[in-house]
Amino acid sequence: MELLGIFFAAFLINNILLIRFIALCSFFGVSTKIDTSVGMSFAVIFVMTISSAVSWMVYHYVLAPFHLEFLRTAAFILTIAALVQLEELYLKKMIPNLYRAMGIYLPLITTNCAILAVAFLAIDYRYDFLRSMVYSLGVSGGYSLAIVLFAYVRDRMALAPIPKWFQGYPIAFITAALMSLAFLGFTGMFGL
Amino acid sequence: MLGRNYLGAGENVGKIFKLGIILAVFCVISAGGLAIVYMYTQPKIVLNSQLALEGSKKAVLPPSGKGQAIAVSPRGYGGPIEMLVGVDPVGKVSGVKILSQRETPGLGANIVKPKFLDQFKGKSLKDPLEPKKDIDAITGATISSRAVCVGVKEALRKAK
Amino acid sequence: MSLWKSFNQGIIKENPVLRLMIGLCPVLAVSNNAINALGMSVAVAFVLICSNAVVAMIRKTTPDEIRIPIFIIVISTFVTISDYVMNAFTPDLYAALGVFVPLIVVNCIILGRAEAFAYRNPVLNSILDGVGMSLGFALALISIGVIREVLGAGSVFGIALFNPAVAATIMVLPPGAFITIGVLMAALNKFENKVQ
Repeated sequence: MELLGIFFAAFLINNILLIRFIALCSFFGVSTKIDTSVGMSFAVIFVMTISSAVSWMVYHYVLAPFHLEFLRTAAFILTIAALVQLEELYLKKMIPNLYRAMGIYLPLITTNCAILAVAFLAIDYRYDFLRSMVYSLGVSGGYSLAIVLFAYVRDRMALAPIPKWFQGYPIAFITAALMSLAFLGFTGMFGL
Repeated sequence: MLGRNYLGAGENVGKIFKLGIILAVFCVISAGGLAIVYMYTQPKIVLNSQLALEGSKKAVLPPSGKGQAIAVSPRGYGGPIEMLVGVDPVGKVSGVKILSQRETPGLGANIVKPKFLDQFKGKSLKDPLEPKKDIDAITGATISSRAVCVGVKEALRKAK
Repeated sequence: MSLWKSFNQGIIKENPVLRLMIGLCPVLAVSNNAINALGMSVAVAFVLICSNAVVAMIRKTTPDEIRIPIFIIVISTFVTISDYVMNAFTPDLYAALGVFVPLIVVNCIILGRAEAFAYRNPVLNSILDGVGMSLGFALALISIGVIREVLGAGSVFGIALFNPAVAATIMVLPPGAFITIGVLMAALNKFENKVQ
């Protein structure tokens, strides 16, 4: 039950894009087309799950025992960058179909702050391994939900008459505001 | 990388080795620098959190310093509300302080204001301690207000 | 590139936030009041100026192949320094900014300027570029912070202006951040169109 709570809190209530404002560059960047937003979502779910597992282990088995917590920022970002490279090589060789579907998004992910943020937050919240895995699944699920919904809205927006000054990014921000408002309605759900 | 195929295999290994050493040197310099910063700031950070806790304890206890300061974390609207409740020796609330909260800014977050928290002073378990009865809830934030009441009650029970 | 141009292009013409659309996360997340916005701007300025300076200093000795990992090491070093210094000397601000301080490391402005400017220009120009970009970032962040605080909480830098009961609370909540930046961008579009 507690695990379910962690999942839904990360998935809806503290939605990483719309409520916590993390990884917004990719939110506006790749949501112009539905296909790219779906591809990016899968890439994020895949990388976030693996990298939060690895960075949890790096923190608890390497940094903490040697009292090197002050190196965590550098350690996490280097771990994630190396991991993304490895995953890219592995997918290219072993699962070429999957690589073709999300390969081009993988390099972009190194600078996707959501991955690093989840690694930090799982440590800050003092989650154990299982909880931090559930948490990262919730976060990446919430990311996918928000970005795919947003891509569908922007798709419709292409046909709408928009005031000249608001075309492009400004109207995208206003749309995001409305979505964020909707997600704010989840606060207080499940007694969390 | 960058079309360096013209290097022979032997040279390539040497090159990788050299790059590895350069990277390692950077890592060592960075880690050394950070260790120094850490050494200087860490005692201060620990001291700060101790001082903050001492200060909060002092703020909720009666001027005599007698009584207990009890930490509780009732469930609010946006997550747990960490709070410290001072209870004097006769079982009355001497002060309440919110240590951390994630309530809605502008609404529930107003529970940190003295105007709201001061209402609890002098209350004991005999009082109902409920919004709309003896506590004026914050407008538009009944859940947050009730959470603080629950926390105060819990602390009073613990103090017994 | 002239020193003056290095300095002033980041402020309006290539404003990182409103023009280049980079470094958005902290802009939206910590702009719910003016003090947080100012604190974040100072932290970003520190990291950006220092990392620009160091990258420009070592650019001749850095092998091309491993420049990105080296940039990341340099940046994360300065981020960690600001993390610990803020935690030690301004604990309240540090608590308010939360995870966004370590996240400066992936703020695209910093790696972007290291790669696009500091790696190709002398130290002095790079420092000035850092100062200019930081000012542009601070300008956007603080103006959004002030707008949100005034409209949403009826105060500015914590000083009450009018009764907060009549303020639009939504402006300090997450949607308010999106609305403010959207309207600000539209206003900038309109303004620039008029000038031309």
